[in-house]
Amino acid sequence: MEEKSRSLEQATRELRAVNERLQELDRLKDDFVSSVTHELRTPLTSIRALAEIMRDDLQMDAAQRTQFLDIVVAETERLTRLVNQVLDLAKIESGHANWSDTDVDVVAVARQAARAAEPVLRERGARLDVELPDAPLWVRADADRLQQVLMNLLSNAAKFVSAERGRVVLRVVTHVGSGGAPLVTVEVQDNGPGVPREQQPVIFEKFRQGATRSSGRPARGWGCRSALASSSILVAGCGYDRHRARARVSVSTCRDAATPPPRRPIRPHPPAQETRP
Amino acid sequence: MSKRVLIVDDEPNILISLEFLMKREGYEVQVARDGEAGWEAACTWRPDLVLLDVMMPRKSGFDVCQAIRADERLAGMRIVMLTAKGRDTDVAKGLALGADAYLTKPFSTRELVQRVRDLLEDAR
Repeated sequence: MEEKSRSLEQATRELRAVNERLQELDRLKDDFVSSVTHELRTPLTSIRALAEIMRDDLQMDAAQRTQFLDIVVAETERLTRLVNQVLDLAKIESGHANWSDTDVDVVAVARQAARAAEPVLRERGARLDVELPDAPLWVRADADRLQQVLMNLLSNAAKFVSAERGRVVLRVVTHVGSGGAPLVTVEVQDNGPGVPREQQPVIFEKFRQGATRSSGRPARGWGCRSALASSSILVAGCGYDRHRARARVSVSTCRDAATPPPRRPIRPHPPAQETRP
Repeated sequence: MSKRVLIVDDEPNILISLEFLMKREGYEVQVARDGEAGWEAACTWRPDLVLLDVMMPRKSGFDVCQAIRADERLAGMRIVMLTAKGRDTDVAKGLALGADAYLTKPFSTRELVQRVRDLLEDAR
């Protein structure tokens, strides 16, 4: 009898824990949808406002009109990127994600990502320092996805540093991992407010919203972008070890210069003769 | 003397469009790129009306709105909150904190201009 009672109590505890976890996931999903909505509405706002301004002002001078049209085009491209990222996430959810691994020079990818993210950083008045090795470092990854992840992290960093005082560092470092194997880490670091310590292990979880130290409330764009970043790594087939056995590539961010992030490795390996689909 | 409008938003392209729009209406305009800078400008420049984004780094629009309402020196300052978060709870929070109006992005520029005009008329 006592045995049965104990086992019933145990089952109740487990059910309660599962229920709490589901409620937490539900809340995170709501926050995520809200965050994605926010990300989509922002470029739409510029597009609509500038289109209406031009519609209502037929006498506008040509240079002004050209500037506005350029913004409309750029914001449309941004919107397209966001929609594609959300579709990527949906594909991962449904198990239909495709990736194409090849031998990739991670230094070249980092350089391209820095170049691509440069306008966003410049717009924010942030300085980007790129610390890359001179020689190529070969890893097995989907180059496009890897670049997308780095761009997401860089533009996310740009959003959170102080206007005109921001500093972002993109760094590729090699070191020796357990067993003496050579490892590569890609780091994106900035001097923004930082992610609270207790949130650092979970910021790349699906639907997770970060909270800044300064405001304590969900930070703009962070949840969406981090989810997308991690999902892109997953699409690349090279995400966190716990997600895929053949994981090789990870990217870490660090908002607090005083506490460097745990280094998650990229294992370099020489270019192979064949490529895996 | 023309009325002063302060625009606080961290999206550069939204700032460009709103600045153009408000200047076209004949208002004197200043812009701020985050909540902290917005709060400082509200205190020093003393605008008649603030167009205030909600989700911003450093200090949120809700925080700025609350700070303005808590400061007697800034009494009478009109606040229009602009947000890409259009949930009812967000709207209710903005209005509860003392915003005069709340528009969801993307908004109609004609509607925004009309709201601003009405609020500044009332302020006379």
